[in-house]
Amino acid sequence: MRKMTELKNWKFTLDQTQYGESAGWATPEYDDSRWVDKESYTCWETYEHALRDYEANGVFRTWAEASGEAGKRYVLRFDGVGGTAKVFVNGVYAGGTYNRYLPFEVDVTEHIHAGQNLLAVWVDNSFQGENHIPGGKKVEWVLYGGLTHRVYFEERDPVRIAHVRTDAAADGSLKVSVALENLSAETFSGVVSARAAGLEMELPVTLKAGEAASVFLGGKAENVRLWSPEEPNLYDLETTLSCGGKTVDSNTTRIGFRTICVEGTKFLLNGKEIYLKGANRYDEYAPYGICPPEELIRQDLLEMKKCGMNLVRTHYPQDDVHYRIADEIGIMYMIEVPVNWLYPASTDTLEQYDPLTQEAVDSLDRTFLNFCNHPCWTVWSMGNECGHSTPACQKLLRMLAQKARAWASGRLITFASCRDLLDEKELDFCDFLSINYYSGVLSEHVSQFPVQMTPVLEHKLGIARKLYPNIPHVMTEFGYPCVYGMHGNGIEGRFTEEFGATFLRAACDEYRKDPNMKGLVIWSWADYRHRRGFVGGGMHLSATYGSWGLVTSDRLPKKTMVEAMTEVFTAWHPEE
Amino acid sequence: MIAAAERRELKYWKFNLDQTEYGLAHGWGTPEFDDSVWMDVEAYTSWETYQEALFDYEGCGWFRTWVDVKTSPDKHFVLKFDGVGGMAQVYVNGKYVGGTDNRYLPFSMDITSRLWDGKNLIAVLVDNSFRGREHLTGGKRIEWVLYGGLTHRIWLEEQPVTYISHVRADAKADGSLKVTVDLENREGMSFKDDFSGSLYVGVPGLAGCQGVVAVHLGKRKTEQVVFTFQAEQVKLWSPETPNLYDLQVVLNRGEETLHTVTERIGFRTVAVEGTKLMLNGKEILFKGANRYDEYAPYGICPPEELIRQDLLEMKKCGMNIIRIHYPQDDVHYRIADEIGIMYMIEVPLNWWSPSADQTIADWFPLAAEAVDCLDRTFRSFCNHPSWTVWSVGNECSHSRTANQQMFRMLADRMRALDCGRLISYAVSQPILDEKELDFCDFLAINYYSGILSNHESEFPEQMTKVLERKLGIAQQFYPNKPHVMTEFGYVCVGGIHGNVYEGRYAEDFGTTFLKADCAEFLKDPNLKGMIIWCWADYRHRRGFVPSKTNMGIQATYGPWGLVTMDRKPKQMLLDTMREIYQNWEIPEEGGCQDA
Repeated sequence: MRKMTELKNWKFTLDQTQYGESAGWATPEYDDSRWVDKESYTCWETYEHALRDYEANGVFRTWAEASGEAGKRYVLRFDGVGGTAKVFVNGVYAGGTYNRYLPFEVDVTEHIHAGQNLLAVWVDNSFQGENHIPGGKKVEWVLYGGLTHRVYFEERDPVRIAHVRTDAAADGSLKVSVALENLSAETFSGVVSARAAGLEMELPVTLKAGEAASVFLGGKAENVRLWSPEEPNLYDLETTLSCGGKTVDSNTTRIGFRTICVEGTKFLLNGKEIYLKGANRYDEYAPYGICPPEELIRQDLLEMKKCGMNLVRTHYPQDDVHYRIADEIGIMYMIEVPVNWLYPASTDTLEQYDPLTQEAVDSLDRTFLNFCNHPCWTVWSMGNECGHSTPACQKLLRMLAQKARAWASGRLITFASCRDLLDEKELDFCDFLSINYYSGVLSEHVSQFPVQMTPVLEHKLGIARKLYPNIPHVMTEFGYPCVYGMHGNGIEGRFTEEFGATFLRAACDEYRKDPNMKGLVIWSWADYRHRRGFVGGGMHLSATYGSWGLVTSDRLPKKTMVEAMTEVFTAWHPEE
Repeated sequence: MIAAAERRELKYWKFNLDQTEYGLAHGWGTPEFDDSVWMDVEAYTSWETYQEALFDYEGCGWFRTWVDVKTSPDKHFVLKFDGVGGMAQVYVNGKYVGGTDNRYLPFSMDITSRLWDGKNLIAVLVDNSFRGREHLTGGKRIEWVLYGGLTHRIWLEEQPVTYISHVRADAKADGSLKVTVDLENREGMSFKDDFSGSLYVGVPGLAGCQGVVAVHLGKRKTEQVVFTFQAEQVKLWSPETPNLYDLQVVLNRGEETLHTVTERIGFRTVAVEGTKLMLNGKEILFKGANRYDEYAPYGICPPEELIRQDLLEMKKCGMNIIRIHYPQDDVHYRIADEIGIMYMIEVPLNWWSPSADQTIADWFPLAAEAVDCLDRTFRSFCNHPSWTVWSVGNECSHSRTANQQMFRMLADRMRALDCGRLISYAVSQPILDEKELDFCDFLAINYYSGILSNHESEFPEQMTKVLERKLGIAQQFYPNKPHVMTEFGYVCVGGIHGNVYEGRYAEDFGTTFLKADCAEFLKDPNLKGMIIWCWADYRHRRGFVPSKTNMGIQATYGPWGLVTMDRKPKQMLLDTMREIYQNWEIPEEGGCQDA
């Protein structure tokens, strides 16, 4: 079986000049007693004011106990990490990650001995440049640093269930793929069984020494209660690997039966038309950075539901805890491949954007492998606000979409476009059209609002309808920045909540006139901090804070704004 | 009849943002405008602290309040700002009455003609944007946050028509006291426009300092009256014994007291003798820190009691001087007078680098602003004994023609004021000859020995070489002046620790660095002062990102303090600097010392 220990307590210091590695900071002999004590699943930005915008290296050290029994495997599992990471065990480099957004594992067996072992992790949260994910010359969101996700030390038997992946549809059909691994020196013969929703499935299996393989089980459940935002029904799938009646490994996966699809210009969830109503949401929550207590995340997502929302859009994969909660309370997720603000020249080729391309593909694959069992995850976006018409972007987005479809993922595929649409082909890889558009809000000419907004929006949406008349359209971004507690009369005062509410009502009225419009996803649910060096176009407020939220970054509701959007969302339904 | 000036503080305001400068054209300054839904705020506060969304806001904001006034032909109403967080325009009952383009200094305006009986609307438009290098501070960038809003106290003062407009006291260590009183007879609505009366000046508890003269002022006339006294048995002001006296100035008309002004003064003389800094005839060493007025989470508006505690902590660390890049709120100097700590105040010319072919004529608004700032700094704060040093600027390209013209003009003007303060300039660029800084009473050197590079592995051997060369040049060109390190320091993060000097941002490294740095400085026989950069960590202004230095931390925070921005001590650093300051004494000179 397996023994998982969460590694919570660490010693921490900064290492901007990357002095530590050569000075033995990774070795067991090094004395770290003067270093500061920190817990994982925190951001170093929250340790001291001085670190508010720190982007460089930090080092964490802790000790882990190993039994040293013959044949055991030892793995460090990170649910994610705040930067790129290098992991050292007893002074020796054991592995790492370039990708802050996704879980990763490092098999450290060969470096472990019985007793206490020293683990040292270098985390580097600096911007990697536009040839790495998330692409683009700037990143808007703060690249929170440190051990920002949970870290586990796992002692495993050599024969085990590596993964369980499922596809549970609204017709009750359930497909299960069980990945198995035999890292022992002997052939393993046994049985894989899986049960859920009254289904019982079983298959014999034989794995040679050192072999990894997947087995596929399937069935159709009767009278299954489907998952939807209104009724988030969940089932436990119990998977067992046994040998001669003795359990070797087991796994519990939570699943939900649901089918999302597009029919003509409609979204159907479990055969019924729905509108996508929601908000963009970073995982940031002041004052915790991206590491708020789970209970606060739950309350926050429940507040979104109260506002009439059924969907959360994110620019990058977030910690699994979000999807777990979303499964439970019933709210859908649109997860994006972190390719953002990539604007190649028209003469650029995709090859010039290595390793971004590989990283994007790897992110896509691993997003699927890590989160595919979550029924809440219903939409998959291939990227955000890129120069989508350029040859390099076309190639990248089509490659990603093809990959995503190859996973037969049971998710809708799209791309959030902000640039002008040029023809009816460039976005034909999308199941629906996603439009990000800020009608005049980024200009200074608010005095011309709302008169000016109508023709601008009519023009924009008219082009979308002309080129893509046969698929649903969703506003994946629109919004208005205003400051909590700032109030004014009517539409006076650019940053007042009243101005924001008036603006949003007028904008949504326009969107809803479009017969293809089947979703409104506001930017954004909560205010958020900008990454250092990010200064928005002409907005004096934009330097280090994005005040686009319906609530502040510490979740004080901008009541007038929340009321406006609640009204818009609750009054907007598909016709029965 | 008004005995002493009656004044009330305007504390409660309605606030709104106005980035697009929509408000002025839409009546936000008028009494008719309905501000009932606007945000309630208090002066004095920084708007950055109202909401995180305003953390970096640089733009316009409006403040509105109402005052109840009973007008009278015998009264003038003056609106006084102890300072303001940006440029400001002031409107009374919808009419523009004045403003300021200088955030660092007090300003006031007579609003009598705009007031009526009953409720009057006062509206203030504040703009804290960066104004470009043709204005103070002259640099392309400003490091410190330009905190916005009503960041200083605001008063409505009722004054008699004939009044004391200014009092200057020059109180020296020899007991001499010169008091210069400015009087003004404003045109009142009263027909008794000519004024006849008497002016009394006195220092209670100090023999020999009392006098009265008859004064006569015609309509709309001003007059300056000068008193000179020789005090007997005066107790001098110094950081160790901060003795203060009250100077009372009273304007009488017959038996009637019209106007009283009380100024607190201290007798002290600061001077340079050869390579020595002298206070009240005794040699002293400057030991101190640079200090912004920022104090988290209050921006530049912490409660007075916290400022007092903070300055007392500096004294506990063995310090006797504070250097500041710009004039700060009077409260600082008032506290410094009381607890005994000196201030070095700078004309806010900072990182001003004209091109080599320019002259001061190419920098008209900036030069005019610098002169105005100098004059008003003097007029506002001249009676504070704690203010002992005046700097004409910081870290500019001092060797260039325009700089030389500007700094010499400012230094001459300071000397013409006979201000009883030492004059200097904080130099960071290489010193080229023995003339360019000859206008300084002492040489003020800002130098960060290698810390801004990434070569910590070469520390401390490299530091020694670099510093020897740097101080050698200073010694070569200015052997007959005292030298003061007006900036040096090290960045580290509170609570981050390492071994010896491992870990660039660890307090331990900082401690090792500062010890080595100060040991080198002390080898310079002319060194008579060390003023560390800086007392407390501080925030950087938006957009401030040092080039090349590649400092991971620097974007929005300067962790150079001995304490954090919210005054958590970096204990190791604090202990180190205390030890250095306390162990640094004036060398004895074999028997030559005056008995």
